[in-house]
Amino acid sequence: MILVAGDSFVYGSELADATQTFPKLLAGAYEDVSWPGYSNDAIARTTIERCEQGGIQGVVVSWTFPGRYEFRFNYNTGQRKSPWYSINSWINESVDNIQSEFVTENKDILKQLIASNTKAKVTGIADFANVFYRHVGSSEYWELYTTFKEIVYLQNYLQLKKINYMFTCADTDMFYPGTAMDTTLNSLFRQIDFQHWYLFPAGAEWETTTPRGFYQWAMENKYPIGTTHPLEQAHLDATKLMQEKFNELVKKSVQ
Amino acid sequence: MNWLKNLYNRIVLEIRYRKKLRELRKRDPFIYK
Repeated sequence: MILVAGDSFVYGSELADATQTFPKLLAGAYEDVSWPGYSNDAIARTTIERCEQGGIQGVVVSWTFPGRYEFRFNYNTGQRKSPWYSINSWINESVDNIQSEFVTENKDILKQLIASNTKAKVTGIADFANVFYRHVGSSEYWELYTTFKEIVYLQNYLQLKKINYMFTCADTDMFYPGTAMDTTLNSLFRQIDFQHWYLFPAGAEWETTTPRGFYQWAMENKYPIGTTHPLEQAHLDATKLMQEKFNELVKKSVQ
Repeated sequence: MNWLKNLYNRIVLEIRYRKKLRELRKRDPFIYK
């Protein structure tokens, strides 16, 4: 069995059929531990949690933006994955400002967003996120440090357990940071085995020469977008691009 | 004068934080869950 893990791009948010995301199309038959809004800590944790139960021969992971962080709260967060909760830097933003980020308007999604923000305020998560981002989480250093650790942690776990895997990500900016890379970050970065990654092709030379993540690639190539997610066509084309690498890293070993 | 210095430091920290948050949001765009 192949396990797919990641955030809403893997889960299939805003798709008419949530089974049509690129990791699921690649895998064919799969188990899914992805969840909308997941942070990289959550992605590593849920992948390992499922692998520990056995029966997983291959894993496809799409890492998310590093500015999200998962915590296990001391109380019911009111969310389905409670007491685990991945916070993000938008949790305290006004609905009006968030709505201005929508590519396409959607009243139902806006209603859900208001409900979710209200819940975060009532439980205290919004206050916690405010303090956390103010003191720690808004630094690029902390984003890179925590995300690189999660990537190396999961990579080493999968290698130790001899589970074949392929990694990709939503956005590659974390590999081209503005923050100076010190010994700690450099050490973590050098431990990442990029032979097991699929990164999307760079755009035209005047746009970018760096490899891209799924979200960047879909946005830059102007694929149809829902409120904020690339829709079916981007997933279909991404699957075609990734197929060879997936066959090499995961599929052959599963058969 | 201490209160003035404290107020000044608080304002500086607040401005620095808001700038960092703006930069973070550029790196981590709002993606509806």
